Amino acid sequence: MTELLLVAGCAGITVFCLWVAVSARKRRPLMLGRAARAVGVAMSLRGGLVGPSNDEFGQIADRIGARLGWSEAQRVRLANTIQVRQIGFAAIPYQHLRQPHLHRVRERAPEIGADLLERLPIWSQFSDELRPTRRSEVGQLIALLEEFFYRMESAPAMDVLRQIQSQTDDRYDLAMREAAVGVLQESYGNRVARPKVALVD
Amino acid sequence: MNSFASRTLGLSALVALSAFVAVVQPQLWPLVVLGIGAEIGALYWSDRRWSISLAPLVVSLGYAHGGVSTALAFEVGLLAWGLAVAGASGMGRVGLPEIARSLLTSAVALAGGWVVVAAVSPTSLSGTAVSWVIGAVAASSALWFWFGARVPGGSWGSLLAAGGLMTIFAFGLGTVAPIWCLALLGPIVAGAWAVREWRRQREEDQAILRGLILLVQQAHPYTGAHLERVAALAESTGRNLGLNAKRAQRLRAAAILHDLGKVAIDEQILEKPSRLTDDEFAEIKRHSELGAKILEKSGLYPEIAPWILAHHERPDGRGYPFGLHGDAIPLESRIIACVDAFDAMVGVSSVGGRRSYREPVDPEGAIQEVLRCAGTQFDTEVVEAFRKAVGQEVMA
Repeated sequence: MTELLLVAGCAGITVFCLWVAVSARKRRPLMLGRAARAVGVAMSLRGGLVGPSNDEFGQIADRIGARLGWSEAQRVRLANTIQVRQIGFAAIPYQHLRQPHLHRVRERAPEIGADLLERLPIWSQFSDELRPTRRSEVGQLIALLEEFFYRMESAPAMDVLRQIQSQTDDRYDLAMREAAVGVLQESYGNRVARPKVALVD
Repeated sequence: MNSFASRTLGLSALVALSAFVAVVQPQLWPLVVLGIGAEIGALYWSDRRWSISLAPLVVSLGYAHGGVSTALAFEVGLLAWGLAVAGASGMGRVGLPEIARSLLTSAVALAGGWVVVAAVSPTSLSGTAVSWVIGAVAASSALWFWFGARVPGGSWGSLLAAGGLMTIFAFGLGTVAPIWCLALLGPIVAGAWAVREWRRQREEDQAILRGLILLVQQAHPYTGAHLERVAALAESTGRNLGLNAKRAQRLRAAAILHDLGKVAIDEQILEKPSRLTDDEFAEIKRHSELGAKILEKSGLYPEIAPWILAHHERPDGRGYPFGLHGDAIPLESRIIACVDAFDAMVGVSSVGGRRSYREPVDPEGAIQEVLRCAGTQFDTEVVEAFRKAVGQEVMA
């Protein structure tokens, strides 16, 4: 009887400890994603009017990632990087972010953001993705989409896609360029020029 | 006696009664079950470290010396005693550093096991004396958890280790063949893994909060430093009001994030040296809603979003954004409001720490101002707990 109680007690404690461990393990990436999303929402509120919402941006990027056969881990990294990519806005004066003639200041945001991310152990893994010289496939895809959405504000989508397709430099991986153009054409092919919209109401 | 102590003592009496019944009239099991339910409730409200440190010890000693009913009687009685001491002494909220509090808790737990076993079963005195030594050794070797983890809950691991070792010893004394002790490998390995994962999770939670502080600090330097000071004082105030460790931790997170919405407010308004216009003031008022919106939309700590939303409400109904009255304002919001206002008056201790539109007030003057506004701008009970917290901080 005592032996039975011992085994049952130990089994109960083991199951409880395993539950604690597995829950903590599952919760961590979830919390990281939510924290990245909090940065994304905060920076959208601060940044004002520009480009698509983070959700739209993320959905398009994920479709391209899926078409490229990226792993789940790579797609999660992509989603998180998209959310934190505008963290540099925090260090740019609020008014400068809202004045079109100061767009050059805004363009420095990725560089400022990369410096900021480097100071944060939890997000430092994303800092290289924001630097043109160091980014991996994830950073390249985000840069490609940023270029597309920025240029689409003043030109029809198909024109922008043709320009991207005809680029001969090595900024973007060739397969990625093809996949991105395909997905963007399906989603925005008939758009003439994208009006600026509020990111968060 | 504060509400925490009286609640704990009341539950302890119920638990002790159940234990008595279980020993005298073993057939009255429902009452024992009721006692255990009450015990679990008490543990939930007080400090769960007690359950981890005491339960393995008393259960194993009970099995070794008298079977299931004695084990349960031991468990219930000892936990009742432990909770009574914890409640009466206010342990966990005394003005000691976290490490000292953990050591104190552990020492009392170990001594408690020895005293109770000696009283109930004098023949096992020599065995329990040895178990005390083993427990003390286990506790000291477990200092690694305290110093390694550097997180408030780090002592859980040490208490788990102490309880595990004492369990092994108790079985060695008793009727079980040594081979059965192999069954303990499961809890030990799984426990170690759980502690490690839990520690990593805690560290990452802290890192997330640090990241968000940096975000606010970039946009508005005063606010960043202010958040850290407010968080510490809000947590102490919450503990003085009887919040358990988990809720106090959430309050701390809420206090850190309470001005998160200011990242979306023009810093020229936030730092304006002269008096604000109505429009500018209306803009600043948006920050509590913006902060709550960021957390709600991201799903990060959604439970604290309502506290942040209401942290500028006042008991007299003259606050914003909704003009809530009294208890309609969450307790955590009332705590943050009080501490926030105090720090806004005194906040000059860091670089760039001074608010541009008014001169700082000395701490004594700020406390007097908070006291003066008790019942109107601030909750009376919160103000009392806040005053104690400031006193504890000065003592520390």
